[in-house]
Amino acid sequence: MRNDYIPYPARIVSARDETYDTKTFRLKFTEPSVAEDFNFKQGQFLEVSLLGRGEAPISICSSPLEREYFELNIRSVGSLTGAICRLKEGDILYVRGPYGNSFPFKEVKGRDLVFIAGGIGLAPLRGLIQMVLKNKKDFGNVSILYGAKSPEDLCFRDELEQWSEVEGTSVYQTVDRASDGWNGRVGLVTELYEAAGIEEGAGEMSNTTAFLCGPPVMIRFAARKLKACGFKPGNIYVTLERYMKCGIGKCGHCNIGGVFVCVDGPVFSWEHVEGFTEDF
Amino acid sequence: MASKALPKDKIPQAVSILKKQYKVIGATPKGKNFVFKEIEDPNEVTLDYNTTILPLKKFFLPPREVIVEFNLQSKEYRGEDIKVEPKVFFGIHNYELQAVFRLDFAFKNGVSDETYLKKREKNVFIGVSYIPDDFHFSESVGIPTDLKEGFDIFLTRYDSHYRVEAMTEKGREIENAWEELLVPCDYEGDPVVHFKNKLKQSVAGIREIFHGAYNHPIWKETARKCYSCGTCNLVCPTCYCFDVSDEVILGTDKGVRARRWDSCQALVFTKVAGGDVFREKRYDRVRHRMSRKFAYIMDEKDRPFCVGCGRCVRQCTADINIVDVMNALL
Repeated sequence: MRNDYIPYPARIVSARDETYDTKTFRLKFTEPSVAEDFNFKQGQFLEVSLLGRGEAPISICSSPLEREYFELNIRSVGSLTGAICRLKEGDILYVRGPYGNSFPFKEVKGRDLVFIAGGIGLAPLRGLIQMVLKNKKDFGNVSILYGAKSPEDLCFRDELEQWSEVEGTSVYQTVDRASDGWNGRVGLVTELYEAAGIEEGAGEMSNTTAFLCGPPVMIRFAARKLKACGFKPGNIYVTLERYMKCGIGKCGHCNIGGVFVCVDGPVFSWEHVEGFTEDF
Repeated sequence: MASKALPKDKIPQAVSILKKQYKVIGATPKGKNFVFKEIEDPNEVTLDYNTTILPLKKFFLPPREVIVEFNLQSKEYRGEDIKVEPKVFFGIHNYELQAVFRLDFAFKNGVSDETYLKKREKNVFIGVSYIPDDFHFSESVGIPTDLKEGFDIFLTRYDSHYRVEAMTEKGREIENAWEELLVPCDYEGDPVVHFKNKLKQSVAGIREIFHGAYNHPIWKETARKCYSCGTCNLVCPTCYCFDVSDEVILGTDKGVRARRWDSCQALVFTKVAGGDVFREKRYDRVRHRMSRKFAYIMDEKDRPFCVGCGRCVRQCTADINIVDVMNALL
């Protein structure tokens, strides 16, 4: 009998500190046949667990073009994620999936792209960013707008720098609270819009697609402001957070109106989200 | 062709015959109430009951169900083997089986959940007619008392007899096995029964009404009475939301990952790691449950997930009546 809840062991190849409480784990399935069958798309998530600690949905933060490994960016916020963040190279994590839908990729070729992320919200976008930048000639200008609570909370700092060096790619960063040595911007991620050429009254942004991920309050403000700046709701993609317990549309935890974030999402166009009966 | 009937005093014998081949599950008295349980003594089963405390879902989606067993020391783990034994569900009201069909839809739709579906194999259902009490309102949700959809045999009560109608091959086999207990009968047709408890209108169009009722005052009015205790979820035959968590047996290296019934009325139900709660207000949660029953999820025939059993009204700790809430919207 098939049991959809059985996880598969994956070995930690490397564990990199992103911030004081966040790590990026590079993983490989211990069973070659499982690794072989594992295909995911940008924006999908896994149910990640430790035996005896429980399970949580975590988005895959690496590019699906990378076949040798996959990566998870995990912030220590509770019992499970705390225990995961104490793991070292060689330790085992258990995963099942991938689940959910994905960000459009081929569909947005030839367009300018804006990525807007808050905190570890950069993680679900990272795989897509890597794919786009690897195929940069197929895309227009790329802007990455990234905000965090403090400079110490910024993830993927080396990569942000590398991304900014790719031709036609700009990276803008901001923090809510500056600390010593921070010479960058202070303020909300939406305050980076102007620098990235997103302005009210500047006309329709018909050739630009935006991808958003972050805390719900950020998503609401950032998406509404994009609309005010000429983005069509159908050209804004957001990824929504819920604590999915099953990943297959059964447990009910991610139900919003008639949709299940785990199977109908986690990626939604803003046009779709605006039509939700229930507030997201 | 003359019908056949099972005399009331032959019920224990009929159950004994079933027990030769099947596990038999039926309603038995418990205090002033009734419960579904596996029948050991054929004399304990009753066909004359209003409704049971818990619905049949407990047999297919147990309150707590192990999905993975593991050992922390050896790191070995495996999925739970589900053994399926042939079961007869004896003396089941039609709304009860309809609820099972709603659950089947939920667990089959999209990715099928084999952990549930496996337990739905080798099930035989023997229905029985019932007289609605003050709480049943099934007719309003499209389940009149003479709906026999899905039963293998249906027993219709007339005085001291039950007319036996076999509706499937399995049902005919059982009818044959009962042969010596049955008597000829000339009862025809179904008795007309009336529901005292009713929605103001039938289910058609209710979904649209819900979409327009997001800010209706009834949600806050109902929430003022509600304790968010979750009893409605536990006793509802179509509530199937669950939580998944790990348990380690104290003093051992053994543990299990289990799924358990959960309640959308609990504040933590929508809590995420960052601390956000998506249904923070009690009225958000009250509205969510009602919307799940009548608008968000419908089965393949566009039927709602409420079957009108009335359990959530009977057992509500705050005397909230789903029929009154619905009628305020209609």
